[in-house]
Amino acid sequence: MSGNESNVGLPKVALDFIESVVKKVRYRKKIRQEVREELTDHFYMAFKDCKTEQEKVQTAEEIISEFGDVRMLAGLIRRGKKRCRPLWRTVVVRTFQTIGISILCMILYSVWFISGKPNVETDYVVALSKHLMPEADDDNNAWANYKKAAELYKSIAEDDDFNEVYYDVKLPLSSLSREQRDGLNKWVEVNEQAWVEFSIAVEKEYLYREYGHNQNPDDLWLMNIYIPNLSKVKRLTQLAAWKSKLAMEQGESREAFEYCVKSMKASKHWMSQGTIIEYLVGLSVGGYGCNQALRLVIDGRFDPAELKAFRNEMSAVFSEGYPYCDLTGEEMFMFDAIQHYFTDGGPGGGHIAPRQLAKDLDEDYYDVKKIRDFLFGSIAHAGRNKTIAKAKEVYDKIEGLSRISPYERHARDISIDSIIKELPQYRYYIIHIFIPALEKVCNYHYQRGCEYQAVLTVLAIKQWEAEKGALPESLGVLVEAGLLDKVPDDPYSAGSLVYRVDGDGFMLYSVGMNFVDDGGEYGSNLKGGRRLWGGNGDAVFWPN
Amino acid sequence: MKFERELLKGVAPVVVLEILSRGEMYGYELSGEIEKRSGEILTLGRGTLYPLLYNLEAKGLVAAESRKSESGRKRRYYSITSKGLGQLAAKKEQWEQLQRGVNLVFGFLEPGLSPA
Repeated sequence: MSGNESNVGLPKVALDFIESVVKKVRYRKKIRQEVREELTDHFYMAFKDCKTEQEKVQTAEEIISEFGDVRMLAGLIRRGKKRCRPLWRTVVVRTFQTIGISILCMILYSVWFISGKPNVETDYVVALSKHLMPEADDDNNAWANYKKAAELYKSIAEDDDFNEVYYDVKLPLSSLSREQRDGLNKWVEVNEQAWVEFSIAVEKEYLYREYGHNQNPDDLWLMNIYIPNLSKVKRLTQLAAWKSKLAMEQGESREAFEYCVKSMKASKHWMSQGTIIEYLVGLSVGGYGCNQALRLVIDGRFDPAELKAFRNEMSAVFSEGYPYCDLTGEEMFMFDAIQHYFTDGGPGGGHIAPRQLAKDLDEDYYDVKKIRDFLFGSIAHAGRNKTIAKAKEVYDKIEGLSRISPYERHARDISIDSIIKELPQYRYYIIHIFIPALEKVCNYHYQRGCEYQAVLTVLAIKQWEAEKGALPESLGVLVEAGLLDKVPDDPYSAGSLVYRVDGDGFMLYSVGMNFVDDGGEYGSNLKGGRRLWGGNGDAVFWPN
Repeated sequence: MKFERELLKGVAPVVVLEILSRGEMYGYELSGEIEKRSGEILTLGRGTLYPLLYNLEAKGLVAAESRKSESGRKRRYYSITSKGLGQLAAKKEQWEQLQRGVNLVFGFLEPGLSPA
């Protein structure tokens, strides 16, 4: 019994049939009630001539038989009732169904997406080491000596007065206070052994060592390689600059210049390594050597033979050209990052594994809002294969552009930064995150290279002056005389470095980063002090 | 006589509309009326009756109204709508044409004569 008062008097078989049909209609309650009432009325009308309960039962069974299959009847009734539904209700129901299905699909997709784990197959630390391994005798490898030099190196005490100025290798000795001078002497003395090892190292043919990492299973990727001793290499070349000043003070000009040459040789070693940071250290170290060489020419009096010898030694360091940064290591960094953050088919479907990314970015992954952001960001990001292809394309373009001088890039209105900026961030944010500021690295290469050429040029000019008693009319005559291989290019103009005789002296400069010849006006920093490569003025090498 | 299902399929809606055009009825009453007016030739199966009425209602050819019957039970009365009347007229004309054509083929009619 349904509990409906209007069913009173119906035989059980009829009641059961009605309820069975109503149940199978599976529609809104109101509609089911309508159907119940209609069928109940139908049975009652059919029983109107029945006198006994038995007759009712018999009639009910006949009617039920005529109604046919309960399921089919219920299905037909439901279909008919649904068709009676107003259009707006149909639209609303279908819309909610669509939204519900979409949400369900989204949830299932998200679960599948998040469940993916990256598949790290390649050990890029080993790969990078292999890429750099030279085919040469290990006796000519400078690494062991650099390593020993770094181990032997002793820092300046923090409370030592010299600690405030040691890094500014442009300072003349005369500017040091007595206490600073004492600190310098002490620093030189305690690092004599380290310097001996360093000197041996720079004379070796090449520098190579296998990269390592911390051996933590979670850290086995290029991001976490261990590059020891870089800061000590810098300290030792700063030491070289100060030792050069001390030697010059003692009148030991040859020794003073040798320190500069050693710095350049160290520079060459470190520029040949596999990472950007090592390349930058190499550039920096070379900068110390060039700066100190120019200081020596300013402060000292040299005969032509000495100048020639110095120039030849400096020139021999980069006889094959000033090295570009090898981007292979950086490319491997990128591929390593991709394999650490992307799944490789299967759950996640070759997309970013958001949990891995969140973990490494130290985000509170359990924050619902951040889960959503990482998930949507990961879904929107290009897949693994596309990202790899795009990274290769980007690095190929960058490599090409890095071979073009800043002036040429400026003239063609192209830049390395623009290659990165053109990448849609939402599609390739992994590339945006992991690619370093290669435009700056490229510019540093040209600037340090220009400084190096400037040193060779100044030495050639000074040699000419010492030999002839007058300054050369142009840099071209130095080339003709064999003092220069070629007139040095200015990376910031279409021509060469500007050379101009100015009374008894001369000027040698690059038009600088603003690409404008300011007539040899010094570039300046924000405090008004001189800056070689500022955004204003020229990069004046001489007078220094 | 038992008629083929496919033969009756198109008939049922028209017959129901015709019966309802003469006055509103409830389901049970309608099924009895069809049998009675067709001289017991046509019977609308109970399993077809209510689905058919709901479909006609969905098409707007009939309207339904629930009212209390004389016994106090709720009863659903069906009546033909103006749209239903229009549909009925169109269908009746079609039937007439069909009937004429079939009669001619069977030889129940001489061409040019109306049936008796």
